[in-house]
Amino acid sequence: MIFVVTGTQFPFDRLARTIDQWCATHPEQEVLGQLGKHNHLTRLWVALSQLSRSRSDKDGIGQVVKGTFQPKNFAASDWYDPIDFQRIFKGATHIIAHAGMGSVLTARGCGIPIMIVPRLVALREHRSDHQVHTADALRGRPGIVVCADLANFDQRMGELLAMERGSATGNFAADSLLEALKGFVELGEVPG
Amino acid sequence: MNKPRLRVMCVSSAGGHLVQLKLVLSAFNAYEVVLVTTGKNDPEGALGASLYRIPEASRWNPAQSLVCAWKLFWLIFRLRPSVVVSTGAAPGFLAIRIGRFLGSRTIWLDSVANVKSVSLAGKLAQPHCDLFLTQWPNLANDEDSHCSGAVL
Repeated sequence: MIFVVTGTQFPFDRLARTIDQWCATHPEQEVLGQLGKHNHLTRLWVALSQLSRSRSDKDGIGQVVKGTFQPKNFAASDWYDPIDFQRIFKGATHIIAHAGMGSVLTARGCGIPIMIVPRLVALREHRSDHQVHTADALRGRPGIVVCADLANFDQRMGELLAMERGSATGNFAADSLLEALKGFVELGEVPG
Repeated sequence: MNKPRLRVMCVSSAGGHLVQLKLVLSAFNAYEVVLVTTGKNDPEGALGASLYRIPEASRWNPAQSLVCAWKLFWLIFRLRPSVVVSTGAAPGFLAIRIGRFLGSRTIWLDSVANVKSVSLAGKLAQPHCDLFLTQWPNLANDEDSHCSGAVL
């Protein structure tokens, strides 16, 4: 089962549409999605910022487009209870996600191959382009496929599905990082 | 004579920030760890730490941020942690400010998602941190911003 996770803060219709099209031509694949939604407050903010058109483009959240897309070819929910979410995530063979670190680190910790698609400010999918930078920095790491341009989605899916689930791989936090934190708490040492 | 156990308070938003904070919790194994976060129903629980819930804070929701700040103030005032650690985002910044004000030492570990520049919350927290860590060497300057590795 392929699990699609796009975070719970904002929807990511561009990715959901692409996956829906892909599913139409790959009916043999079982795909499940948590696609996210705006909470009520975000909806209110969107409504307010549409009223006041003077807000600049950088003025974040109001610029994130409202998600309306409902996939036809795969099962999806706005939100799963975290206990269900974790069960589904851990049972997946592959993950498709926005380029958020929660998804990447969790997939990595479970040894599940993951494809990441960065959200773009230009398409009003996020408040900053940090996901583009994260995706660039993660390109080439084992178990991670980066799909920066959805025009290449089918090809990237081929690469993703060619990856096998590894054994659960646990915690990759650098020992030096743990030592720095430990040293500071114990002795007040600052590295460098 | 045994030294009293230090108390380390770890604060973060739910989601990616919390995943990263949990990956470094083992650094504080020798201490009493208090985990403060915004999520609900976390199936993993607090990995042995005591767990407190706070509301999410953000620039977009001043009223809720105020509640978050008050809860953090009360928690830090009551528990008097020796060290406050955060990976972000806005609630972490509030915890660093309040922790510093109430006499805790403060650590910021900027999210590994911030590759090109430090997060906004991180920039705001930086002047109030005793240890400021980024996870990307290109963002460290070895004066007030250090890099000792990453969680991936």
